[in-house]
Amino acid sequence: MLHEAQRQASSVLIGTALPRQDGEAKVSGRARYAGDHLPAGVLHARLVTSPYAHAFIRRINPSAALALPGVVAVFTAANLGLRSSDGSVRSLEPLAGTEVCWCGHPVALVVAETEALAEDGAAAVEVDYEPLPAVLDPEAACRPGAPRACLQRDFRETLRQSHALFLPPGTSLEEEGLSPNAAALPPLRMGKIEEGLREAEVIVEEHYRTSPVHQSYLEPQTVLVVPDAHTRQLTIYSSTQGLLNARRAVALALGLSERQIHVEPVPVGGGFGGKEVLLEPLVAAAALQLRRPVRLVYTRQEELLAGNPAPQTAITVKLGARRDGTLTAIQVRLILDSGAYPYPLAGLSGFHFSNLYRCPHLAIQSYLVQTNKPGSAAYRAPTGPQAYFALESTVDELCRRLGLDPLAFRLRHALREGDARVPGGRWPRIGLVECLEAVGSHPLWSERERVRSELPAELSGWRVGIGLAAGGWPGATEPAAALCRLESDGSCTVIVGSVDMSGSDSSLALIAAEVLGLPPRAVTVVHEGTDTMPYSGLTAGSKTTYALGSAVLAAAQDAREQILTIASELLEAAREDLELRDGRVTVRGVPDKYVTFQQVAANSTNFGARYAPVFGRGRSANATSGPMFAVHLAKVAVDPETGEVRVLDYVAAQDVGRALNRGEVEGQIYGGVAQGIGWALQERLVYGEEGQLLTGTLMDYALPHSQDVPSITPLIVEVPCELGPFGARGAGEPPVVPVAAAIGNALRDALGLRLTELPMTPEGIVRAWQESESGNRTPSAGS
Amino acid sequence: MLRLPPFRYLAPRTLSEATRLLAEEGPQAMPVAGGTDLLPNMKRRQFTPAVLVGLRRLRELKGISGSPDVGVRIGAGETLTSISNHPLIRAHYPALALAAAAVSTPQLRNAGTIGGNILLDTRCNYYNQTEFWRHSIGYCMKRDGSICLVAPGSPRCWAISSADTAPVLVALQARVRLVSVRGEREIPIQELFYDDGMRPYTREADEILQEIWLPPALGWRSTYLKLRRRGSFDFPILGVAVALRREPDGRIGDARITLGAVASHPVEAEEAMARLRGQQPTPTLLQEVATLAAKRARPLDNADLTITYRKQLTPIYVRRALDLLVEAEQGSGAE
Ligand SMILES: Cc1cc2nc3c(=O)[nH]c(=O)nc-3n(C[C@H](O)[C@H](O)[C@H](O)COP(=O)(O)OP(=O)(O)OC[C@H]3O[C@@H](n4cnc5c(N)ncnc54)[C@H](O)[C@@H]3O)c2cc1C
Ligand code: SF4
Repeated sequence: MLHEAQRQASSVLIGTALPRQDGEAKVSGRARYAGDHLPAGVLHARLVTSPYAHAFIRRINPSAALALPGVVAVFTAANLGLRSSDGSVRSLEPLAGTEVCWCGHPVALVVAETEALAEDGAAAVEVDYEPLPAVLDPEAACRPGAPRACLQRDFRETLRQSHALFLPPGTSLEEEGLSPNAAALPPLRMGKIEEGLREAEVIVEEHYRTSPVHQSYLEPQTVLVVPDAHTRQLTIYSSTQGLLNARRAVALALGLSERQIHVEPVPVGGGFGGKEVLLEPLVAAAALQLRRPVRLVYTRQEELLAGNPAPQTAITVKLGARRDGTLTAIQVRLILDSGAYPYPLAGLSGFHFSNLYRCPHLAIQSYLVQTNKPGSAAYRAPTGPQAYFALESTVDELCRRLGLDPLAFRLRHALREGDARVPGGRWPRIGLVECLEAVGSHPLWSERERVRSELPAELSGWRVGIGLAAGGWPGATEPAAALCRLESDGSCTVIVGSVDMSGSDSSLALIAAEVLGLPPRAVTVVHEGTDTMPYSGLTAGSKTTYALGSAVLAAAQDAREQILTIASELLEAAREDLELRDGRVTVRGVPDKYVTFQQVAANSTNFGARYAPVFGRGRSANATSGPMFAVHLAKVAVDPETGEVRVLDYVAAQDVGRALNRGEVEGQIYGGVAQGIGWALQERLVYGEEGQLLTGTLMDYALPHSQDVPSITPLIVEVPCELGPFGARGAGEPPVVPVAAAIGNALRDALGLRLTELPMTPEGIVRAWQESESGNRTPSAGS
Repeated sequence: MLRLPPFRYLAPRTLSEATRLLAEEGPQAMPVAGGTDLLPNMKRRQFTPAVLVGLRRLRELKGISGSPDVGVRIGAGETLTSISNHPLIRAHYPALALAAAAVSTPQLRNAGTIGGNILLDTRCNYYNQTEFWRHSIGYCMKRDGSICLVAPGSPRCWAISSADTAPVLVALQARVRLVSVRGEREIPIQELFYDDGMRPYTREADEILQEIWLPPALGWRSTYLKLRRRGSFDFPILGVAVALRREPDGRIGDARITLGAVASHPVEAEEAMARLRGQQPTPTLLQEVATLAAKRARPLDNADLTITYRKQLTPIYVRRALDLLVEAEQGSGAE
C-alpha cells in the first residue's frame, strides 16, 4: 500500500520531464570531477603494468626510474605498506607480489612531480619476469589439464573468502573432471529437471558464447588523495560509486580507522558498475607515505587493459515443452569468466534464468572460472545481457519449433504476482505481462508484416526482421537516510550521501518538491562527504530512487509536518485545513489567508524565534526489492552477402513502477539500448593467444557511434511498487538487458539463422549464412 | 597517457625554404601536414623524428583548379573536407569526393590533407599499437624488431596501404609532382608506391609532394566503395575504386579497377580491366570481372575482421561498384 501522502499528492510534478540540476554544469564543462581537483604540491602517479598474462616476477629494479629528476618514489607490493590480504579483492592488493596473473596487472606505481615525468619513470622501471603458461578461454580453463591461471593462490579458497554469505562453510565447489581453475557453484533448482525433460515433447538446446565487454564510462577511473600535513588523516576525491565503500576499503587496506578517512562527494562521469573501489587504497598508501597529495587518472588504454570489465560467458540453455506449448523444463549450464579474481556477482548470475517464466522444473548450474584476464565486475544489470541473450534466443527458437506466436508464448508463461520464486518465496506485484502487452499493441509488432516490408531505398536487397525479447532485473535494496532543511528564502535543501550516476538527484528533488508543494527548482540536492552524510550505500542495482528516494520522501514528509505545525499556530487554523502549494501554507478555501515558507523559516530560525528549525529526517529500509522488467522490439536490416547490420527501429517497454522524472527515465532507456547495441553487434575485448589485449584503444574496441543507434521509442509502463516512493521502481539496469536477444531474434527473423555468439559481427553472420546455404543444399542434393 | 617524443618544429613560409630545410636536416627530419597520421604514430613511437618541417603555410601546396576537359590540379596541402566538398570534384571525379568524405571523422578531415593521405604510413594490427603493447608482444621488423609477426617466416613486411584516396587516384590515373633541392619530378601516381610495407613509397626523405594532377574527365564515371567496421572513424579494410568510360554503343571503352587495403600498395586489377574493355557490360561479364579482380586481393591477417571475410567481400564490393556505374549510365541514358 502506498503512503497516504503519496496518494493524496495531486502529482503536479511526478511524471513530468524536468531538466537536471547538474545538466548545465556538465554540458558547459564547469562540473568539477575528481580529476579536476589539483591541490598545491600534487604529485602524479603512473602504473607499471605487466606485459605478460602470467609470469613470476623475479626482480623489480626501480633505480633507473628513481634516478630521473622529478621522480619522487617507486612503490611495489613490498614497500607500499598495505595490510596483507587474501588476494580475493584486487583493490586490497593493487600491486602484484611475486606473480602476475593478467596482462596489465600493475606491478609498481611511479610517483613524480608531473604526469609526463611519472610516465617516463614508469618506462624506466626494470622488471624481470619468468613467463608462465596462460589460460584465456573460460571453457578451456575448466578442463582438467588446463594450465593453472594463478599458482600462488587457490581460486576456490579466495572465492570462499570473498563470498562467505553465498557460500556457507562446507559448500563443495568441486566437481569431477573440473580443473582447479573452476568452481562449481551451488545449483539453483525447482521441481525435478529429469521429470520436466521427460514430460517434454519438444526439446531445444543451444550453446552461446559472449565476449568480455568494458563499461566505457566517459570519465576514467580517478583517485586523488590529499593527506593532512601533520596527522594520519586522508581526504579522498574519487570516481567511486560509493563513498563509504571507498572509505571502508582504504581503512581496511591501510589499517587506519574509518574516521581518519574523509571521502568527498564529487560528480561522477558514469560508472555502470565498474567503479566500486579499485585504486583508492593504492593511491592512499602512496600519499600517506609521501605526505603529499597523489593523483592517479587512468588513460583510456589503462581502462581497457586494467579496468574491471563485464565477464565473458559460455551458456548452454535447454528448454523442454509439450506440443501444446507448455514449458516443462529450463536447464542451464553457465560458465562465467571470473578473470584473475573472484567475480563479485557470482552468486547472482544464475537467477536470471529463473526470473522470467513460470516453469515447474528448473535446474541452473553455474561455474566460475579463473583465467589470466583482469577481474570481472558489474556492468549494468550484471550478467543480464549475457543470460537473457541465451534464454530469449532459445525461447524464440522453441516458439519457432512449436509454431507458436512468440508474444503469446511469453504472455502465457510470464511470471505474475504470487508465482513461486527461486530459491523460495513468491513474486510480488510485477509488470512483465503489462510490458508484453505494451509492445504487443505497438504497430512495430501488431503490424509487423507491413513494417517488415518497409525498407529505406538505399538498403534494397537487404533482408528485414523483427525480433522480440524480454528481460528483467530483480532490483536491489539497502537502508538509507536523508535530511531535508528549510532555508530562510523558503527553498529547501535535501542532504544525501549517494553518488549521482544517472540523474537520480533530479528524482530526489522531485520527490521532495512534490511533498512540500514547492517548484522543483526550489529544492536543491546537496551531497555530503563521509564525515557527515546520512547513510547511503553503493550506487548500484537500480536502487537509488527506490531506496534512498524512500528516505527522501520520509525526510520531506517530516519537514512538511514541522511546517504544518508552525503554520497552524501562525494562522490559528487547524492542520487539517491547511495545504502546501507554491511555497505557501494556505487555509483551504481562503486563498488570502496564508504564510509563506519564508515566514515559517523566519519564525523558526531567527534570533529569539519561537519554533524549532524545520529539519526533516528520513530513514528507509525497504525490506524487499522492486523487480523490474523490460520487453523490447528491434527492427533490423541485414545484407546477407556482407553481413552488415543496421538497426532500423527500436521499441522498449519498461515497467518503472512510476516514472518520477519522465525525461530521466527515457534517458536511461536510450542509454541502455545504445549500450545494448554495443553488446549485440560491436563490442568485445579481444585477447591474443598469450593473453595480450588486442583491443587496447577505442580505435580497436568498437563502441557504437551515433550512426549505429536508431530512433528509440520508450513505452513507459507503470505498475506501482509497494515500497518505492510514489510507487517507483528502479529504471537503470533493465534497458540494456534484452537488447542483444531482441536483435538476435530479429536477425533470425530476417535470415532464418540463429546467431549464438556476441557480438554478432558481419563475418559471423556471413559464415553462418554460408553454412546454412550449404546445409540447405545438402538435403536437396540427396533427394 | 601517450606523449609526443621531443622534437624541433620548423615552419617554413615557402616551398623552396621547406625543401632546403628538409635537405639540411637530413633523414632525421620529416614533413608534417595535418599531422593526423604522423603525430599519433609519434606518440606510439613508430616515428621519432628529431625535426618536423611544417607544410601548413606553403601557398604552393594549396588550391584546386582546372576543368573536366583539361584536367584538375589539387595542391597536396588541401584538406580532405575541401576536396570532398569541391563542386568540380564532386561533379567530375566523384570517386575522389567519396573517398575523401569516407576518411575517418569530420574533425580529422578538416585537419588531414590529401598529401598526407597519399603518404599515410602502411598499417598493421601488430604495428599500430602503443609502445607498451609492441613491447609486450615482441617488436616486429617494421619498427624495432626483426621478424614479421603476421607471417613469421616472411622476409618482408606486409603492412597494408590504408589510404582511402590512394586507390581512387590510381584508378583516375593521377600524376603527382615531387619537389626537392635536387629538382622536380612528375610521375604517374603508381610509381609513387612500392610493394613493401616497410618502405611503401618511392618518395625520398628530402622530397615534398607538391600537387596532384587529375587527367581530363570527359566521358568517365567513377565511384568508390569502402568496407569498414563502422560507418565512420574506421580505416578501410577494403577499398574499391572503379572508373569506366563507355562507348556511344554502350560497350566499355576503358576501365580502371583499383583495390585499396588489400596489400602494401594500391592494387590494379589488370586482368579484370582488360576483360572489360570493348565489351558490353552484361551481368555475367560483370560477375566474371569481379571474380577476376578479387583474385588480386591477397590480404593477410593483420587488419580488422578476418582474412576470410575480407576475401569473401572483395568480389561482392567490386561487383557492386561496377553495377553502380553501369546502372547510373543506363539510368541517365533512358532519360
Ligand atoms: C582515428 C583516425 C582515423 C583515421 N581514419 C582514416 C581513414 O578511414 N582513411 C584514411 O585514409 N585515413 C585515415 N586516417 C589517417 C589520416 O587522418 C588521413 O590519412 C589524413 O589524410 C592524413 O593527412 P595529414 O595531412 O594529417 O598527414 P600527416 O600526418 O601530416 O602526414 C602523414 C605522412 O605523410 C607525410 N607528408 C604529409 N604531407 C606531405 C607532403 N606534402 N609531402 C611529403 N610528405 C608529406 C608526413 O611526413 C607523414 O609521413 C585516420 C586517422 C585517425 C587518427
Ligand atoms: S606485416 Fe609483419 S612486419 Fe609488417 S607491420 Fe605487420 S607484423 Fe610488422
